[in-house]
Amino acid sequence: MVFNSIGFFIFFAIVLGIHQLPLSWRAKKINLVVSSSLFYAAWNPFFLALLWISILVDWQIATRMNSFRPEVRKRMLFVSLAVNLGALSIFKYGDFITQNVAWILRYVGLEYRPSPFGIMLPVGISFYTFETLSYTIDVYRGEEKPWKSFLDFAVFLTFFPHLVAGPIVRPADFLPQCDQPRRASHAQLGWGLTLLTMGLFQKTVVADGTLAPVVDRVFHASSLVGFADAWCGALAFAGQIFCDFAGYSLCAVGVALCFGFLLPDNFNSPYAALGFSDFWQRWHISLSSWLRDYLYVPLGGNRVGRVRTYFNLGLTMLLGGLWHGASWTFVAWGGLHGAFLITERLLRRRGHTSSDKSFPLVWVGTTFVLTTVAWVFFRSNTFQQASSLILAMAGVQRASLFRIVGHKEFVEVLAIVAIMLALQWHVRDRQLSDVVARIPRPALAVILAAMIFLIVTDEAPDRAFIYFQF
Amino acid sequence: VWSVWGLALALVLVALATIELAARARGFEPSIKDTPALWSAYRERARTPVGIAAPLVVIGSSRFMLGIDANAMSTTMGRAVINLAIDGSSPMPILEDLARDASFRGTVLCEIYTFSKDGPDTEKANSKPIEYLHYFHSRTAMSDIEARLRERLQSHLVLALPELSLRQIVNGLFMRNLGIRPSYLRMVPGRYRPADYTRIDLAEHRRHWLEAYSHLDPPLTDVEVLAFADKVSGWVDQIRSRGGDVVFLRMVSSFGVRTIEDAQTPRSQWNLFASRVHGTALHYQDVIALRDFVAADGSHLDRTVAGPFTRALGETLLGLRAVSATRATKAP
Repeated sequence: MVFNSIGFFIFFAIVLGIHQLPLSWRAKKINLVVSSSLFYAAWNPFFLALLWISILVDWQIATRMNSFRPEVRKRMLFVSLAVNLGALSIFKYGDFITQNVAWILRYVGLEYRPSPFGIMLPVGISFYTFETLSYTIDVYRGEEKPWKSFLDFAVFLTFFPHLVAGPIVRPADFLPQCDQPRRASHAQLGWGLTLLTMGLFQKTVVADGTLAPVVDRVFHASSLVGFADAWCGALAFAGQIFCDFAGYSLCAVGVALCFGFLLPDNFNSPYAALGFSDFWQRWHISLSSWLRDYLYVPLGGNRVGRVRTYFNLGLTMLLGGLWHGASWTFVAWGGLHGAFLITERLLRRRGHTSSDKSFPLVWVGTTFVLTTVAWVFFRSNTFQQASSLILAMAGVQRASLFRIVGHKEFVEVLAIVAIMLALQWHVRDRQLSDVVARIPRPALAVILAAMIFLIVTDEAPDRAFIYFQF
Repeated sequence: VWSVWGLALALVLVALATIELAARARGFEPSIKDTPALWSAYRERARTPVGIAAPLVVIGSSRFMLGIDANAMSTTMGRAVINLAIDGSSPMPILEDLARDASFRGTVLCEIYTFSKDGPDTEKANSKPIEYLHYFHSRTAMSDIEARLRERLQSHLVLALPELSLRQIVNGLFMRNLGIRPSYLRMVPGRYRPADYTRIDLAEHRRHWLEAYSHLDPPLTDVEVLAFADKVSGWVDQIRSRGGDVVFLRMVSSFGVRTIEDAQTPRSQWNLFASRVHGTALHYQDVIALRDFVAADGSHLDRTVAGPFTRALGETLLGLRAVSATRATKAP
């Protein structure tokens, strides 16, 4: 069940209606767990079992962990990691691993032809795995005490707004919210619905309706594209993936707020970032902070010497790339961002620290262009496809400008990307709620009405949210 | 908060109601959007548990979509009829899929219009049904419900028409094509597409189809037709083994299109196929009740003719032993 479906709105209305009834807080939490489980089962009922195995295993391990000696606790953490990452490996990376093993064996002269696993990827597995792991790791580290209520823990992991594509919620942020009855105030309900509308507009009208068809055409015909085609496709994808994922995150935060729960912001004007370290504090914030706290810092972070810091940075970004999908193109995307971050650190060490303040637009422009180039690897299915587009973007492949995209579409994409950049620059140091609060009420009503109208009447074919596949 | 939302919702309702009423006044009618999701929801209904009346499933191209009203045929035949035809495609991948589906025990009415390198059963003609089947086999548990909800909405609201979206209207302005007119085609529940040829220049449309059919690929040889019949017979046998059957129908064509098709697939070749294939093969020219129908544009039936054609075809099928033997013991 996706946010941009009629089924979801019926589901949402029913669950929210029950949540508003004068029931006990416990009954309301049961309502959330049951309805969230149904929400998840709407994709594939079988995978609900997998989700609940994670919940039960990690609850048991974290609850009992503190009563054992450190060696046993370490083994218990290992079991949690093995169960969660094992499921992730099998379902998400099974085919990828066997294909690469076969490739290595063939390289050394051994013929091995594994049959494809043919397993469907359980939706949201990468997201809930990281959420549940953060709980057991926090308890193991002693940063969190085991939570007392299993029901609260089940609400934390299954809560449908963040279940399938984040934001990746931390137990310390969410579990305390389950302590007291939560019901949205009128202001929260109104703001939640506003966020939901804005998110659906970004997803349905901008990402799916306008940018996705151009992206599909350009990437499908990657070997034929001209210079302008390639840039148009890459820019369109930069816009599509932002509007798709940031749109989803806005919906998730908005829907959660309608129930009185606060989820962390996942995006903060990423295309207005002054450099890549700034970009990763603004793009998919819940993932980048998770990788920082549970991978980069445990590896030693930046406290272990310059070379080791660069290594840690590179490794974190490579694994971050792999988290997105079982393909070397994702690893290349992560590697590129690792290289950008390392280069930026080197530049800043050599005295370029103040240049972002002196020439902010140069930093923003450079960061955006390099990010757009990296997106080509993210979107491409193969390196051949990516290299065709990169060469065309460099102007070395074909002399012609336009072969795939029409002039009108090109202008449309440029206009949307320019508006997106200008808006992000305008709000980069402000809260979205503050920006919206400054809009006169009649004007806000007209904007909301226009968005709803366009969402309802848009004829774009349905597309799943891009991050569902991760 | 509520003043903003109240005003916003009021504005949306006024805008939507205005479009709905204005479009209806200009002759627009609601139409369902055919998608792999909707097709899959219908395909799912072809699966019937033991003890439940097995349906008649109609597979083919646009000729079946425009020519057969599944709901009317269901009334005539007293059993569920499910239209799984897909525009511009070959039904062969669907026939194969039905044959392999152990939970399908119904009877199939399968359209065959020509034996050429262009179809049936070529990569080009099979690509669309293969896409639909891929969706069907990988869809989520919720997608059938969503497809049904959308079907209900689209069958009642004109403003759900793609041509009335703001994007299409703006595109029309760019193209200086300001006069958006109702289409001659729509789709109603049951995946039936009544065509109103009074809304278009029929002579021009006939020329279009004539041009399209003049580019048909070379015909199959007799040996290839026999090989095709053998391949298809394997699927027929699988369906028969579960109590169903398959009827192949050469659909109505007229004017220049018919001339081309008759040259492309001579009568002798059809007879060869009919004598070899398992299941029943019907040529519309051999059936008294069907042979006088005329395809308005050469290839498709007009909505005024589709109703009588559906009834005549239903009665013809009831007269076939292959169909009557598999007829449901209890009405759907």
